[in-house]
Amino acid sequence: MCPDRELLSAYLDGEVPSPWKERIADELQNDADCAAAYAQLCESRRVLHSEPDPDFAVSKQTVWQRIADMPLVRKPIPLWRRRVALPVPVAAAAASLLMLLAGGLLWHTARATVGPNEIASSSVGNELVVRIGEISIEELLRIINAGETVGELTVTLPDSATFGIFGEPQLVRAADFRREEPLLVPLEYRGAAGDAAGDRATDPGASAGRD
Amino acid sequence: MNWRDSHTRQFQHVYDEVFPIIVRIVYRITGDLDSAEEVCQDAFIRFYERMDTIPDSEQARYWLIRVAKNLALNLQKRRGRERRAYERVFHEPAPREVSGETEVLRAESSKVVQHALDRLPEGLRTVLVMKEYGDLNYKEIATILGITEGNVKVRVFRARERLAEVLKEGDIYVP
Repeated sequence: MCPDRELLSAYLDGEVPSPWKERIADELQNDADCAAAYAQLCESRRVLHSEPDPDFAVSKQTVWQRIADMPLVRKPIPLWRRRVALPVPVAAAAASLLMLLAGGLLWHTARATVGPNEIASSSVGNELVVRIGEISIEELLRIINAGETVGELTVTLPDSATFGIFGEPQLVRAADFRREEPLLVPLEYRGAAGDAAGDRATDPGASAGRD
Repeated sequence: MNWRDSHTRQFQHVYDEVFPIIVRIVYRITGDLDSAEEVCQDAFIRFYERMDTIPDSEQARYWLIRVAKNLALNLQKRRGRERRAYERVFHEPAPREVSGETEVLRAESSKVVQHALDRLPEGLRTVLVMKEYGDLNYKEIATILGITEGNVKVRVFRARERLAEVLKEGDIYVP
């Protein structure tokens, strides 16, 4: 069976490896259609080479002379593109040193960020003093619940502790619910108005009915 | 160029090896020898300036062929733009250099293949020219153009098919 013309084109260029090359050669001898298709490809090559080339040897001399007469300057290589040749032992030592430094830096950083994780506590009479590093709130509550005899608890936070807003404050929720009501009631009116405001706060229907 | 420079010997080695390849390729893209020489000169000047960044002579060969090919194609495009601009302004085809009927006929017959090549799409023409005139194998062409060997194989085949169609359509006599 004759191969497709694309394969014949590759065969013409000598780009088909053995044993396919030999099979195609056999096919070309036995199949007239295949041989005709191959002949067409050969013809296109013959056309391309039908015109004689100019004398490129003269061109080579001409261009060389022109280049030789020019004041050419090599451009310096940028620092980041320069190739540095290092002997293997030196390169290995440098890599080891780099890894050692990286490991040390990593260890130092990890140690600094862990901080005091332990909880130190001392009980003096009815007073419990708890110094907190980085512990969860559940752990703190467990300690508080465990100390049944404690009358007073002092929690000392680390100096580097930072605080942020976590969740929605209850105060904001109440203000949002009451909308038009002033949230903070002056102290002098707390007795009369505060009770009324408190009633409305616990009774959403009152506020909605007024709107 | 500083002839005492050791780089010059290296440059000359590459020049001797690569010039015959690129001049044939560029000549078939531009269609005239003067332009081919200019393009080759420009490519080698660029190569001399950047010699230190090219690791070996094989890479230099690929680099030079790629640069020369691009310069030749750019030159062709520029000429095309200039010709179209001329025709737009003067409403007539760009003038041709005529030096007698015999000379015209001779020039016409010698440009048959060039005209057929010019009618191929750039992607097909470049690959075919590299294969037929640069005598490069599929792997080398693939490296220069940054495509796969399979793609080179397909392009060469399609270029031959298109070339056969062009020659057939034009009813061009090929000696």
